[in-house]
Amino acid sequence: MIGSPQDHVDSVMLDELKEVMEDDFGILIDTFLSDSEIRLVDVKTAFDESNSEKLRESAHSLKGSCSNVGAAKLADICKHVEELGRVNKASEAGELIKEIVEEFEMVRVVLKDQV
Amino acid sequence: MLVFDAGQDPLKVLIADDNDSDRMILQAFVKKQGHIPINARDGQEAVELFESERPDIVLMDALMPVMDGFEAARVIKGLAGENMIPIIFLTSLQDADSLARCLDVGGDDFLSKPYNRVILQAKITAFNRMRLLHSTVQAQRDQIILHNEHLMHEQEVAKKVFDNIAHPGCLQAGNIKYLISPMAVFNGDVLLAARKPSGGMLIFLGDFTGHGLPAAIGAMPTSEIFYGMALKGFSMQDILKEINNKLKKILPVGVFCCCCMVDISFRKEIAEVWNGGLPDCYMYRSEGRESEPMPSYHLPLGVLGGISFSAETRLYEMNHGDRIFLWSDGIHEEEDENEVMFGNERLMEVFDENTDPELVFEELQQAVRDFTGSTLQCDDHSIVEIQSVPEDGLIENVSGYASDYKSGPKDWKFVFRLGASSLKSFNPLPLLIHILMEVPGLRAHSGKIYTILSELFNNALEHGVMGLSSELKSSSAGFAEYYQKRQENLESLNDCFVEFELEHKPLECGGVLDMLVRDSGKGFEFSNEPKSEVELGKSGTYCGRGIPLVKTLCRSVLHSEGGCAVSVVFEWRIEG
Repeated sequence: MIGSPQDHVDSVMLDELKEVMEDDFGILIDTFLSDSEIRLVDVKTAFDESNSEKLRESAHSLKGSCSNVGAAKLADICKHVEELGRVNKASEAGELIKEIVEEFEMVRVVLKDQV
Repeated sequence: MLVFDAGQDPLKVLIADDNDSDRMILQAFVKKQGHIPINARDGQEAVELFESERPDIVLMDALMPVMDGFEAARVIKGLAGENMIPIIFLTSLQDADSLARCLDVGGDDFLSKPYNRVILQAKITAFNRMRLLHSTVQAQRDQIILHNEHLMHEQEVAKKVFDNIAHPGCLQAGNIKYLISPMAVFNGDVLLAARKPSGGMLIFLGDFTGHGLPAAIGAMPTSEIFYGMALKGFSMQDILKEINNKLKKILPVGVFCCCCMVDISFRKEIAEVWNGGLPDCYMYRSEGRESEPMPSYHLPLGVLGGISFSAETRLYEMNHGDRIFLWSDGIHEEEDENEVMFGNERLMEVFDENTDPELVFEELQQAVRDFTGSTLQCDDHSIVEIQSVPEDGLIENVSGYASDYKSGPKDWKFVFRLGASSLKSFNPLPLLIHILMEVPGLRAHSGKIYTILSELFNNALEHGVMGLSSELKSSSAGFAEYYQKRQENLESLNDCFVEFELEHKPLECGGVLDMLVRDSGKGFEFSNEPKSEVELGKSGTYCGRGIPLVKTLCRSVLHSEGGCAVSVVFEWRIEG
């Protein structure tokens, strides 16, 4: 279910970013997407290795940058993963990581559409 | 003086964040506000850029590779020293422990994700204002330190000058105990003590109004006059008048000197006291352990001008073993933890409870210490105890003046004749002593010379000119009558004189001083035959004329001209 763009990215925040970044907005979006892909790989690796500490850190980092571009839902899922890492339950994060991957694709579509 | 200006000049803002997109956003926010962003990708880079770029404010991500934000913040705060470099932690960490850790390493504030432009800009503005305030305070502090160093230096110089003028006098004498801060002159307290040429002792405790240099200024002329005049044998009244006139002339209105001055004659066992504005001073008698207040009955020095000033003193019997206590008001004003003052009654209790007069001075200090309940700094009060003791063995003045004058009059002669009106109101001794002290090396003998001249002058004036009989002085009732008659006669003097004929001749290591005193009186029966001390004491004509004392000091004493003239020869050697 794709739903409306507003479900995935906060349009008010995006508008503000556009205003502040001016011509660099496109670069910001590209940077965010490529950065996040790397961090997403970190999250998956941590899960595969059942490394809770690494899972917590990478999810925390991804959460931060997602929230900054208004991807609140994606940030929220990251937060749950980070929480599992904190309580040393990396192995239980499989479902949530799938959700992250799916939601990230949605966010990518919405953001690309904005540029 | 720094001008307080928040946010006009662009600030350098160091942004340390390992996440490229986050850093881009912050950079844009900072730029939009008109400041200059400096970007670092990890803690190590942040520290390096801090050193090379000297940013004003740091935005620091907590979790970064290579060196994390906590470590970088610690290093940066260390490098900043006492300069204020606000560090705002960028964090989405929520737990209290992490936030506390940010503060522990020197963080000043937080900014949580997602970043909010308005909040970030408000924080930058607020911290910049604080930073400017900090540097203003710092600059003012440095200025105060500088001023303070300057002030201390000035005080040290002033203290040196004061110490040169106010040499210790005879404060080290065995019959004096005192407590006074070394820098007391800047609290306005002055303590002076000098032996009189006639053997007695003058003590002066003054308390100038005010603090610091203004309080110290009056102390300089005061001590100069005190020591200068005491040395020449001026009376306490003359010294007080002179100091009062000087202070009245030089001090502004509202600056004056509360003081108590005491003239102790150890031989006569009498103390003469003048108290103007100090708290009651006390005479503590060894016999009966009685304490008698010596209250202030004058205005302080430097208030009244000229003839309105009264140097009238009060006489107190002061037997050997009796003690006089003088204090500035500091001791009364010492406070306990409830700001209750020590006061006069508690001082009196110390006297009441004392059993050994030798200890009362220490007991007074202990009582104040117990009362204030702290280790007393003794900075704000001065206290002096002077005991009446036999004169022998008391130390002479420790003079601050060099006495090795090589040049001066050595061979001279003069005649100084005082007529009736001079005799009524003028004491010639200080003037004569002043001239005699110009003779190189003679100063060491000033006490003896003063004693000789004063005996000869008093004989000439009282027995010669006035014709008073010294037999009157043999009883204490007669003593009073004698002085009353002396006063009456002095006022009605007419057509008379006392003449001094002084001649000095140098010897190889000293000199010979011939002193002749002649009067216009009727003379008396005399004999120049040597007589024993006992016979001299019995003989009515010699009794009370101080001649035996003079004889012990001089090579020869000869009467002539029908008893109207006496000439003595004083031979002296350079001492030391």
